[in-house]
Amino acid sequence: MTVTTFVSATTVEEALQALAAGARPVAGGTDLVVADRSGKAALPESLVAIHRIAELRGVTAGADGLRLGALASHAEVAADAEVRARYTALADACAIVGSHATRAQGKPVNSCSYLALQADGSEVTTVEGPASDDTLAPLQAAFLELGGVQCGFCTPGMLISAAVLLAENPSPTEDEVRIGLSGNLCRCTGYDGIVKAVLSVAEAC
Amino acid sequence: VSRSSYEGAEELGRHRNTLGYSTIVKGDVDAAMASADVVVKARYVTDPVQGVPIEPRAVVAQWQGDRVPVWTSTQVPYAARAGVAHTLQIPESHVRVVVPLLGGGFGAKCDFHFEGHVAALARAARRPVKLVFSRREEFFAVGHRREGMVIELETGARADGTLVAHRARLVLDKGAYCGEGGFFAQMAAMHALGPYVREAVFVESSLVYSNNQPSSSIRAPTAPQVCWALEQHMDELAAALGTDPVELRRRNLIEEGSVTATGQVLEQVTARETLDRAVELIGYRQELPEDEAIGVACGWWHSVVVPSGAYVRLYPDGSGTIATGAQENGTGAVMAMPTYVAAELGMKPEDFSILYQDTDAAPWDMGSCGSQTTFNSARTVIAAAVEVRDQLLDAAADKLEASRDDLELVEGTVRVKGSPDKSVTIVDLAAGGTIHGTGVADVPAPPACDARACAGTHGLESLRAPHWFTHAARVRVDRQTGVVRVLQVAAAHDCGRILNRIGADGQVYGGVVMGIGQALSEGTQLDDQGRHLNAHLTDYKLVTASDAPRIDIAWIETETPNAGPKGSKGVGEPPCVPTAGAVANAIAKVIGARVRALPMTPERVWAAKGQA
Repeated sequence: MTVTTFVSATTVEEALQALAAGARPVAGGTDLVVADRSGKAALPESLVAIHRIAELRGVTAGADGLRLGALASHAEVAADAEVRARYTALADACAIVGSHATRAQGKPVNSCSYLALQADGSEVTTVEGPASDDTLAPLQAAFLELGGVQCGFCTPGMLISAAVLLAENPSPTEDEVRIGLSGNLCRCTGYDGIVKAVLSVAEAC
Repeated sequence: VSRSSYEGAEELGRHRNTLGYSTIVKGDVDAAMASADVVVKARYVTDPVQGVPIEPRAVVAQWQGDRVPVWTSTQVPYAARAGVAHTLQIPESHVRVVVPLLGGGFGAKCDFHFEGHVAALARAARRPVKLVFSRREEFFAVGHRREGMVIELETGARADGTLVAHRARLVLDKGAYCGEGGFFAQMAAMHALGPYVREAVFVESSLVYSNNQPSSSIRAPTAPQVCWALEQHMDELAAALGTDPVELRRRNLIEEGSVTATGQVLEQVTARETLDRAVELIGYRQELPEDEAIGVACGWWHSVVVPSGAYVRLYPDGSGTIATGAQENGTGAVMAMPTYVAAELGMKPEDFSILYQDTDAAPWDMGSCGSQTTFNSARTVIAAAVEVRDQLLDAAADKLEASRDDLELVEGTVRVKGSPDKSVTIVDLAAGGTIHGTGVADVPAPPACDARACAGTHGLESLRAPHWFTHAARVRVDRQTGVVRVLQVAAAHDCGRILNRIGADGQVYGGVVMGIGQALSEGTQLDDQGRHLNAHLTDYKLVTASDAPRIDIAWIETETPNAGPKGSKGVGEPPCVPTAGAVANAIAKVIGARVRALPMTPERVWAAKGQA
């Protein structure tokens, strides 16, 4: 299979027209070429490149929150001083992509595969969100106190998942906590301290 | 190595590919075996399993003139420094290794691995170079896996349950290279003995090269696999004798004054106490539904004794810094150091910062491996604090015109005992900014032993400050599908005095859950060409929060000869050792058959049940 139609769009309008005509979007397309060559996936017939669309770029931090262009790269986000100051975890995550959980409109999402377009207009909470100034949120404090943290690598994702779990079910049973957190892996704690921390906060409510 | 290597084809160890060979020999095992009333014999195989820290490996190098700083997620910064220097043929003083934060290791980040490659690339490129592994690459990476093993055991006992003869043959798949772990043959041989007394022993252990991914010191290297096999073997013997498995162990466990097969006289042994506590915590004699059962497994571990160095210094404002080569990997062993120093100096833990994870900051340290950080590194930090204490007492004795012996350090002051008014603050004493201590702790010599009959000794024939432990596991087996669920684990450990209860408990919770993964779901599958079939977390299954059971912990705290600071021993590795064995023995009770391959997947449990 070879590509018969290739549109390099420079405006969103142009890209939408190509998409309506059945084109598949690509940003750079290198993965597609690799997949095609290794026989894993055939190239689509019609492609629209979106990486030249200026309006999809950029990082803007304003009073109302953060606006990330759909094409803003991890490196751009990580390098933005305003982002680093106000959304440190996001900057760190873009620099090292560890746990991807971010809470958008009350649901945990994997921030590395969640398009900025999808989040447009949403309220987004990262792991810094629940704390105020230098005071940890009750869930964060409980993680520290009850052994919910060892190496810390899974902790941001666990905290976000736990916060969502408690928002949806303020007084969960232990089984409900364990099932609710089963999408996040931890290799250090055996989950014991994490589950105890979530239950302790639930009981305190 | 291919799939069939672990299923009976015996390619392992048959190609003059042995890199390590160790034996443990005591008495005449043939004669003793012939004199036994009951002999059991069995063969066990284990699939290779992976360390799987959640943070993948990442390394950055950026040359500054003829020096190269390397930022890396390693458990062993000083080994990494030596590795870069050796690889690039530059002096070690030209290499600086910094670990920003370590997202778990479990032994997968031990040994020098990729820092040298990245430094070489950065030198060639004249730019900083970064290497970050994908999850898939983590599964292939050098040193990230445990050995797959073939373990053959034969034990003879008298009708009363006394063990008389023990024969073992082990083959360990080391993979294509041996960066570290040449001592694994002997380590596995010691675990093939386990904490039991026998009249005669012949253990033969071969560490062999293969075309597989190289293995490394994953948490308690070799021990979980060998313990799983030996402890199933003990239960098989109990069945052959018509004895309860707990009673068989109680009769034969090592005790105070026992002599090991390597001729070491053991002191302060609490193996039986751990058995009793685990059995009590799990409720061993309780009535259970027919699809549930309880299994137990015992084991031992040794303390790793190595030198290290540290500095403690006080600033003119009376606060201080601990400079240590120790590496924190989430256990809290380094984070706890300010509490030990503060206790020596009558100060508060928050008065101290820690300068660490930077090879330019502190003397050599082995790093976060061998459960040794508290045992060795904290010992040295405390020695440095004692020097600071001496300097403070000398200075205060001058100022207060009192005898040193009459002084005490309390609440940030040095004062005359019984006269709290006669005191001087540490802030005043430290005002000159020169107060500092250097810690080089005494390293205890290994206890005497006699291993003249043994080949391939690496020092493990003499156990220093040994650990004792027992796990008991209650499991439910679905007989239709072979699916096993671990419902409860009771873990009883002697790790000496517990200095940080939350931290120590955390090691047991995490170790048990890692052991359950190794027991039931974790195993690298190889195809007929030796290629990995499940190099991703979808098919290489870690235990999740909803799989993890209730875990009850008992600490047996005793005074151990040659213990670490404040009577402690290490705690990171032992908790993952006996879990798989306990789970295996519970499974066998439910299905009436042995699962002789690890992990004990539903397929294997179901197949074993069919042979019952």
